[in-house]
Amino acid sequence: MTTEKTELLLSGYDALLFSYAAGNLDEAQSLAVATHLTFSEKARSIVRQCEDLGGALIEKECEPVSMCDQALHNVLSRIEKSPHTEACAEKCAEKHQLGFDIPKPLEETIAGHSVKWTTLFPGMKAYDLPLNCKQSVARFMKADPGNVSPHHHHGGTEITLVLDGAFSDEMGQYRRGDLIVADEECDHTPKACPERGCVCLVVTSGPIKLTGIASLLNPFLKP
Amino acid sequence: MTCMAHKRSQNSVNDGDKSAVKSTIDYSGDDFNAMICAIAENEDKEAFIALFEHFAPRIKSFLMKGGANPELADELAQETMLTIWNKAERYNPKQAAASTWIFTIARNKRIDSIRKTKRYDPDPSDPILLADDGPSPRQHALHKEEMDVLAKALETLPEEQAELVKKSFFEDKSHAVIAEETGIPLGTVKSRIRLALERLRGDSKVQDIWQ
Repeated sequence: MTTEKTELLLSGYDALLFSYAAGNLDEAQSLAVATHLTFSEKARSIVRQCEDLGGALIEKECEPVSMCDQALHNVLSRIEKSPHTEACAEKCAEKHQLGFDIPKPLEETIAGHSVKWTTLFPGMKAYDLPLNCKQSVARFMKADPGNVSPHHHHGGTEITLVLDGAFSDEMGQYRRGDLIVADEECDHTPKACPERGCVCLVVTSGPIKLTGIASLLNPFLKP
Repeated sequence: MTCMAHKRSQNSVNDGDKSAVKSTIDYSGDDFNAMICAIAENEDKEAFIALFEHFAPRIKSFLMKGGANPELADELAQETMLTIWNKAERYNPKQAAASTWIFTIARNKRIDSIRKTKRYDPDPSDPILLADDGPSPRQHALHKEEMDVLAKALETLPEEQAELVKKSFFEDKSHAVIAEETGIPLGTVKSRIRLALERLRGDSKVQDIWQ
């Protein structure tokens, strides 16, 4: 892999975790990052570092602006009323339908929904997650063992998180829990693991374009 | 280890003498970590008021930088303070300095109320997370002094990097929007963010904090 491409991948990754910490991501992107964080302590520590920057900025760069006269009184009176311990909502851990364990943020999203796969093209199925997100689409992509996706490049940003199995492309190999950010400059041909195939969470913001003969499929891809 | 867990282990030694814990706090000082823990342990209102006086006007300022009008910013700053009271037990001084934890609460209020999108967080009790054998989290609490070191390091960033960091945190702009507004290519925006993080990680004083 060229240094330039490595740099591109690394800055896409760091910038994504940074944006999560700063609170700038849309719902689908935030779901992908929270799911990845469940898998990776290293990622959690990068987010913690970025959140430290937020703390330092609040302390140093935010010139205090006086609160309204009754503000403290208001808050104190609401404290009197509200019990100070929060009841932790007991989440019913619904056994999900995918056949492998998925992190809680994702489980929460598909709880109560049945995952119905649609065939995109032979060897590749997809399921769009029921999110209320206008900017991005989040979908599960399930590739049969050895399946090669059409060569494509990205008009926007595509986040791929491996949930089961593995895949590889020109730049490397990716396993369960790995997250890859591809940008407009990237174009690649992912190939699913020959033995196990691959299930990924793919979050797409902006258009993806297939290249070559596969571009005939473009009308069927959204957004 | 959260504040409450800490308290329990203390109890086994000194039999839970609440006044002993309370008397160690200087309410006019800046040991904000201890104040949040005092709320968790003793429902300490004096500690809460001290936190309010320091942080509420800064949270209001933070939200106004993001475009909220003064009334909305005031209301959300109040909400943030209420959440600090309600969730004090979840605060872990080894995970975050007080100001960092408070930033995350204010940020989440902004996402809920201004941006109106849903945000997801990893669940600390998720079996997948607990099974992760990556490097362990830092073992010491971050205090105000460490945050001051970090703020100083931020000041040493080249202007082009510092500006992007502030735009992201304060103006709540995605990198794509920043790229569009400034005419800087998206790839450059992202690599500047990465360079800023790399530079901070390379600062020897910051290394002590982020080890």
